[in-house]
Amino acid sequence: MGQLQAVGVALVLVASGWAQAPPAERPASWDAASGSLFFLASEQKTWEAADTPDREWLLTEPISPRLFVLLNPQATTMAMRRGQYEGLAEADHAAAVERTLARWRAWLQPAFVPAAEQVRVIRHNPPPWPGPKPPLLPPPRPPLAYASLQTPRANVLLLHRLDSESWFYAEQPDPLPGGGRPLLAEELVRPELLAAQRAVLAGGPTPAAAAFVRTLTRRRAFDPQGPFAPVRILLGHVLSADSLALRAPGYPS
Amino acid sequence: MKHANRAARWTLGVGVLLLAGVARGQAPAPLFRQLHQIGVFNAMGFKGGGYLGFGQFGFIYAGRPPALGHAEQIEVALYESVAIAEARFATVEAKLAGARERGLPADLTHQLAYVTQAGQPAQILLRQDNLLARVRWTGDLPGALALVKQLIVAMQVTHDLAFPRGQQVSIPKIHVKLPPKIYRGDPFDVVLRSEDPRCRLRTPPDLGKLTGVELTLLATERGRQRFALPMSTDFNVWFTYTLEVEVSEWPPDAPRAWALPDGWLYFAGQPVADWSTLPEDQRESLAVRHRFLRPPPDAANWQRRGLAELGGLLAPRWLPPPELLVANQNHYTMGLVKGCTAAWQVPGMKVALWGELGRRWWVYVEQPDPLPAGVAEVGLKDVLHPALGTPEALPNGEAASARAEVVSRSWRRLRAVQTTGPFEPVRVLLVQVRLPEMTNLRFPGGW
Repeated sequence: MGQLQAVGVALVLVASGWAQAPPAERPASWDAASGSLFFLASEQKTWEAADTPDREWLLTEPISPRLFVLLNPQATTMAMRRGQYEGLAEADHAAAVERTLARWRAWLQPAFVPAAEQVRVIRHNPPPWPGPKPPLLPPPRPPLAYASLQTPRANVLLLHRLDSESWFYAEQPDPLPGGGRPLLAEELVRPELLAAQRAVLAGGPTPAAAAFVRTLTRRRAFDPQGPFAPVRILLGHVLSADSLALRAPGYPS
Repeated sequence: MKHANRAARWTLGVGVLLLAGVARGQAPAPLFRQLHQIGVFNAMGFKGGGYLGFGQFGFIYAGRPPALGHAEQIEVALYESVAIAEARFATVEAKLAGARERGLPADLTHQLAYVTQAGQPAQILLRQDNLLARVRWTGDLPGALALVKQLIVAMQVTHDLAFPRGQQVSIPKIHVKLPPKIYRGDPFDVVLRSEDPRCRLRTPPDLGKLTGVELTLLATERGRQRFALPMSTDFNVWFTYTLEVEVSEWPPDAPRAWALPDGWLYFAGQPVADWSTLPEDQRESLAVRHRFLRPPPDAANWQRRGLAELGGLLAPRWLPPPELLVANQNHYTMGLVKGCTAAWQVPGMKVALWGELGRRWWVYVEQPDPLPAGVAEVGLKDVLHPALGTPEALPNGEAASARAEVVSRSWRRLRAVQTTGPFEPVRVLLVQVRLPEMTNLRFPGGW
């Protein structure tokens, strides 16, 4: 849940117009009309009337307080803290943007790598621990970076959990106007990441990251009342081996 | 002399009560059948308090009797017979350190001991028929005797509420679930349930990793091995259940359980006596089975689903032995996330696996460091199912670039299964498998 929540947190900011004007040589930001993206898989008239399994959406507003879980071998109960997302100090922000762009350059095709000015970074700021600090606290959550792009072929949302994993959302009209060509997974994400498992099974080296892309068709709106427009979606995720650690990566996280 | 007078009055009081009962033609049945905690508390005038845990011989409850002062805890147990209770009284009394108060009032139906030790609360040990009770008491002997008197009176006059009596104590019939094979030197899980659904069983926690009726036992003898398991019902009836199992020799190369007492693995970069003393940033640990997980009601079904899912992700060699795969649910997510865990070992290797059905899995493979001559280090390729590299068609005409996302890392560490060690040098391969369902358009997402 945490990961998906993070996606939602970032995407709401993107869609709410956080992105700034890009340089001329870069694709523009995608200024979505609302803070949320709502999806319908079938022909229901309204999103709210859809059955729960069909009711999909990627964003929420306002930014949700994050649950912060205390998990350690000695814990007898699970403690939780809430906090808020906030921006980073200027120097930290610049460094985080550079680290994010380094990952996206390694993972994405160049046409979908935003300019540094288009990337925003936030981090979770938990409140002070009430009472004496427990002996084992989980490490702080990594900051989240996000950006939006409006390219000639697709509107794109990007999210990155620093040094760990990324999510990609690319949307095209369905059907494409004027003989346009659907965007392929390997045109968004570098093909070697998509073939990571295949390469390993063929005797290749252990990859530093692996990617997964789903191709979906939905009707999408910026408001639950609609209007819903048919779109073709590439929904992708890249998982870095750096996200693995000998630090209780198991559930619940 | 003063004590003797009080004792005489105390005995007289109890005797009057007993005589009154006999005069009404209500001679009590010889044994206590059950003991109800709330009834006992009410009968003794205890305020507040509650169940604290297992003691030396029974359940411990905390409580405060008003007007009597400072009784802090009461530990009680019922036994099948008076003889067993007498034997337990002797055993417990012999282990109490401190000075004994002699000449305490006693009769054929009860035994009493009052033991004091400097700096410690006094202990009052009382056997009445088949009931054994111990009260930790801060105060003087007269006050203690008054408390014991109140307890005995309560036993005599509240038969129907707190201390129901009968001709015999009924011990529940027990249904036992064992793994199909039990091997010498290997821990095994046993599930004990009362055949009467109204009667739950309890076991002291020092018998196994889990409290309740799920125990982990260690088979040490080949052939028939007996385990004497102290056990209680919810109504404080204590008995010994003798479990008899057939123990086999371990077949070479066959997978066997890897015992993780805490459910955790602890890592250190350099030799250390106690992992807990390491600086926070050097404390590494993995939760294979943490204590927030509970078996789901339909565990067998989820175990089958877990095995089927893993069968499409891992090479057959890395599938857990079915009897070692434990289904669970995270009760902090209201049981919506179902998962499985397993930990096993084969010669030269230890493996742990945990994850959430339909979402993600982790596989932990460990080899000794340095590797024995001629043994190759296990890599990601060895672990993956050959079909994992091929794209998969999803429902509703959707497409996916692969069947899962897989990444891995390897480390060299000292590893222990308890914080105090012993630590062994190992090579570790950790694999994460992330399934397509984790990449979705749902917010906040399926738990």
